[in-house]
Amino acid sequence: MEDDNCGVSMHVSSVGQAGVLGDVEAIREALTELMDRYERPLYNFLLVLLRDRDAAQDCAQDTFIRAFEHLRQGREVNVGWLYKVARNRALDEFRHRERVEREPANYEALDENFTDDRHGRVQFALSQLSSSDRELLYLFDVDRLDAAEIGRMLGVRRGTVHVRVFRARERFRHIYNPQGDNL
Amino acid sequence: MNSHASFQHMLARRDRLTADEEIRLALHLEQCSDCRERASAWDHQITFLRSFRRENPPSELRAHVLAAVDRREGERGETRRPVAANGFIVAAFRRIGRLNVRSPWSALAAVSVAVGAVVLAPLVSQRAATPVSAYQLLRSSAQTMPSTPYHSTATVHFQAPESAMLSGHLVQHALAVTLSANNVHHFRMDVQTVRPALDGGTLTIVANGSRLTEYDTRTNTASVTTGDGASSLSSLYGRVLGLQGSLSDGLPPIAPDRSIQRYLASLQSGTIPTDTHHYAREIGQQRVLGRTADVVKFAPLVTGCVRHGDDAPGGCGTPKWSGTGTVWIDHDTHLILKYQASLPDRQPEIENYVYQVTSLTLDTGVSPQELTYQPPVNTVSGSLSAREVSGRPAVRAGLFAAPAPAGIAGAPTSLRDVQQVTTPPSGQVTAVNALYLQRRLSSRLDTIPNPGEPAHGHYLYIEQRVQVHGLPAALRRGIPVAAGACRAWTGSNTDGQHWLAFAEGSKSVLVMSDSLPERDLVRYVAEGLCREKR
Repeated sequence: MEDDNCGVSMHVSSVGQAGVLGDVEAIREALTELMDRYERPLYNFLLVLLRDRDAAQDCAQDTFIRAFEHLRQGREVNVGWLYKVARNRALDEFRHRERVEREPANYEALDENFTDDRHGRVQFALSQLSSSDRELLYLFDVDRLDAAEIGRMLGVRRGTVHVRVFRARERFRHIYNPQGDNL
Repeated sequence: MNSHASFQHMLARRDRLTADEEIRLALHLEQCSDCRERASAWDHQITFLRSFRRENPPSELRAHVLAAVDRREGERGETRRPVAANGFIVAAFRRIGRLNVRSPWSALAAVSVAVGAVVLAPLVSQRAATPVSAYQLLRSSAQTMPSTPYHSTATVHFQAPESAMLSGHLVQHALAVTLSANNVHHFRMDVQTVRPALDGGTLTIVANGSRLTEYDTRTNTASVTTGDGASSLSSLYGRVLGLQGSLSDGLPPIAPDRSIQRYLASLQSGTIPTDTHHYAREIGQQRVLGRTADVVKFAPLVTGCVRHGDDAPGGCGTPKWSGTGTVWIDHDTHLILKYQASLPDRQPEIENYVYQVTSLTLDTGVSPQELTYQPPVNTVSGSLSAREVSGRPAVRAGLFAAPAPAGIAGAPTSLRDVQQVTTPPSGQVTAVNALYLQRRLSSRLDTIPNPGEPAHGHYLYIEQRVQVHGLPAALRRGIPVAAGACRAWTGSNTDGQHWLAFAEGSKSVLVMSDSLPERDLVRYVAEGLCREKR
């Protein structure tokens, strides 16, 4: 069982080619191994981004299905690739919402259920951030991904990630008062 | 970057510094109180964020991934064929577009647009790396209509003009729908209009085989239709449940004795001609209400003719296609869980249409007791479907005669158009809309406008409805005023429209203007509509 205090990047970071191309059983096993390691953190990353359980589940499903297809083509799947695909899928979801949707139905429930305890306050605090700050601080502090990995995901250099983290932390100070948990 | 800024950036990644960086930072912190304060704040911040407790993903997530993988492996090598759009959606949207005066039927049409799309369900192919043909899915599909009784609640929201006369002013419409169904001929549906407020009320429809009962709370009238009339109405309401198809420009209707599978198979085989400009495609699967839904996007929703050149005998000179829709179809039951559509370039336009099922219970349909529903008033024979009369008739007795706002601020106005709705079989007028336009701002006041043509210029718009239970509550949330002999309420909408509402007995009136403020509306009502009642 994954320790909540351990970042994703502390685990083995890649799953190599899943055996001989076309060996479906080996590919399935590789996919299962990927899901054993990354299903929970990936789902939670998407949940923080999208603030909608149904959407997070859909995006996570799509990500792992794509991972299967990637493995089937003999290509490597690592944690950076998974997060990047998941993030792109979440961006598609955002674009779709901007076109036609109102607030996701699960969002109100998310806030209502989680404001009574510390975890709820973390959720609420994250929800007050812009989506880019929320994503960045979650990946950096909660999932503890390496700045280089985050940079590859966002298409920026490692140094730029550090600068963005700095600015996001400053903005977060206006939301979370370090003198006490006043959320 | 200066030295201090570089230390600040080190702080941002404090737990990932090299040994050398840690030493340099520590030395800097001894000298810089600003950075010490920032470091403390950020340490708290990081500790706070790391107390985030991850949720366990739903168990279905992995199951669905593995099932999708198995499906892809099992279905490789097949090809997807293009499918045709669902004609029912087209017809139902066209119906909304045709209605110029709000009536129970406009609400019903709004619901039928969404619910009727279940015909599309077999056209959805399962997601696969290489697509599965819709025809093959059809063959393996056990059914195309719900085989289990169900109970559902849903909301419908869309924006449409107040009427065709005010197509430049979109109004938010909202309905609440409750549906219990055993099959196409046995169901109960309650369609409650929430917005616009003046149309607030509920239309109840109960189909019990060859007997169809309707009751409208607004007019407190009820009707019963039996025999062939009932079966045709059941057929129409059956479309509401999506259990039968309808006409479109390209798709022929589904005959009552023809199964949906055969119809769609014929469509796929090309024995039924289709309009090649229709398309439908699956765009994926999503979770709705905790259930897996196949998502299909299709277009167009309606087709029409460009006015110029459409005089070709028996046909349209220049067709025009409008609107796109997306429907979420429950993968197991083929029930519609969600539907979104938009017709922004039609007159009158319909935008941001959303039908959303808010609850769904399977295996619980309509009870035998509910099917023997008795309305609270005596029923008349024949449907409650209203008949609309447009043009420039004088406002009929039974509702207020709405005079021009003479002498009130602004240029003189004249009557531009009147629309009335009568309810059979008595022919009672149950709704009237009258539009006055300021004379100097419009150059076409003496001509009857083309249907759907937008009004130009400042207006005074009066709606009257038979509402036997009095003014809908939402309108009584305005500012109370005395308008002549009437007790009224006033308010303003965010788009700058001012309104006044009052009721006299079973008649509710809503007066709206984009230029006359509330005090002028009070004066208009006091000197005109309410003066009549003294």
